[in-house]
Amino acid sequence: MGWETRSRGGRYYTRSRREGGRVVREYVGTGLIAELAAAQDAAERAERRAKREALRSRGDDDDEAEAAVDDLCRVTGVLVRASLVLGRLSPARQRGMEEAS
Amino acid sequence: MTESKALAKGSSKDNPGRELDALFTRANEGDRRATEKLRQAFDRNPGLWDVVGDVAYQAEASTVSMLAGRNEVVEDAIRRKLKGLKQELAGESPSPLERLLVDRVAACWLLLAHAENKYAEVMKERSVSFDLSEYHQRRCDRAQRRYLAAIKALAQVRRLLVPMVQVNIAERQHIAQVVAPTT
Repeated sequence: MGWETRSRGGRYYTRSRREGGRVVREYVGTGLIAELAAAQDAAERAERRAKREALRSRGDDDDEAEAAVDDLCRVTGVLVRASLVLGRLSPARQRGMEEAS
Repeated sequence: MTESKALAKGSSKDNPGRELDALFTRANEGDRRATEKLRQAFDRNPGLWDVVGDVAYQAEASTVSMLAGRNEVVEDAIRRKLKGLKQELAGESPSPLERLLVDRVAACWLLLAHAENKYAEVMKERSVSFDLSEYHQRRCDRAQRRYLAAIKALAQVRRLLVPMVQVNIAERQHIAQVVAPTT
């Protein structure tokens, strides 16, 4: 896709698209219509590029969230162990329950 | 690091993780002195639950912020979804520990959903490097292991901390375990 120049002067805008496995070029126009179409295509390309970059980046936000959740898992792990040891359930009862189940 | 924070993270100043692990192991084997030492450590640190609450709040805030960015509508929707999930998991009259473990399950669930979503988006791209694909796959695997461990911890606490029933018959005590209802 892009701007083409006629042999006798003047520019026109075309777009390329896939049709049945082939690339087909279609005429869009000249003047204001062509300029608007070109601007829209450029905006869409920029958006796709930004999205690809975002997916490819290893976001700091992701790492921060993962670290915070890891902290929560570690802390709750300590509390679970403490509750099992210091709570109503003694090791003997734990073993008795495991045998019964 | 305050003692509460160190205790919460399972570490001490000199032997990160090892001292507390050793105490838990000995207490589990029936060592009463180790049990008493643990009890004193937790009694001395009533601020422990505040620390834990902070950690839970940070985990949720970080995951919601990661997903929603600056979009307040999306952030509101995520928080509502989390609230519903936590209410469903917690049930009626959860203990403070159960509430905390429910927070953990919810945070892990959110992180897993995000990791899987991002992996799916990456794989839709026409040209994806093997390195990037592996990175997101490993992130998904970690998130899934974390999520399953969180569910297991909640189930374990609910199963093992069920109240005992003691019945006295003719000067003999019969102790029966009340079996927790399975759902």
